[in-house]
Amino acid sequence: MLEDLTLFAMAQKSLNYLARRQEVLAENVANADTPKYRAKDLEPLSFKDVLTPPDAPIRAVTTNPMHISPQVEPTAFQVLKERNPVESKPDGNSVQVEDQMQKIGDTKGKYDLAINLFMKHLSMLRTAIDKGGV
Amino acid sequence: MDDLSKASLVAVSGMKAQSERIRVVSENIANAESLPSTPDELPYRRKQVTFRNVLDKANGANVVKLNKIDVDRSEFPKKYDPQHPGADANGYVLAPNVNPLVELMDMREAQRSYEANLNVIGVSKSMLTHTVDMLK
Repeated sequence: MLEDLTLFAMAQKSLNYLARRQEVLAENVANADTPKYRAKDLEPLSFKDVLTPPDAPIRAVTTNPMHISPQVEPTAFQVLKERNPVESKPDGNSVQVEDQMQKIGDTKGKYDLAINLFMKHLSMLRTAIDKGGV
Repeated sequence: MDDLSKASLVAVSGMKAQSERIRVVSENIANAESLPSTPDELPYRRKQVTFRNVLDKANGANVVKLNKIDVDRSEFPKKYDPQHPGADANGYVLAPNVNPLVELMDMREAQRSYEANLNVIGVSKSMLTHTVDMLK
């Protein structure tokens, strides 16, 4: 219902994206001392992604009840491994905790922003529905 | 499980791994002077931990696990102490291959990583709380 309004849909999409990103960044921090671990991040959310509805996942056609189709949906956001790390430790680990903490703070800020936008818009709708005034 | 809870789960696995590492470091430091009591005995051998990234199938998150605790195969330094019961014919005792400075740095690194993980949990939790607050 609310998702039909663009702003709510956008807030929802960006909340999903940021929550997933937080998970990827947590993985990086947890693996800060794992040999040969490469830092990961999500592909940045582009304006086009937000506007266009997601493509339906490609599925095998089932023409017979015996055909099986995988239940697992592909993840919505693409995880990228850091390609050219600025520096890496002798054990091949490329996680820089400072960098990751900055990204985590950034993610939290954007998440809070999306939630606040959502709430603000909701209260505007509420004002429109209500008697208004006081 | 939602992504933010998964983030906390991954951070917790990192904290567990780091605390295990601190335990091994403390074992090494405590045994830095564990000399042999007879000439043919060996002194304490330094232990080492390594981490690996594994998929937790139940939750669908990549968590950190500890590999088997391995020993440092470097040579034992020799100490000249002819009075010691563990001294050989030339008066040398084999000492543990523990370098307290290396252990201290290892401990610092573990502490720093532990704190970073703690921070991640704090941020994820506050994001989740903020989301739940939308109900109000």
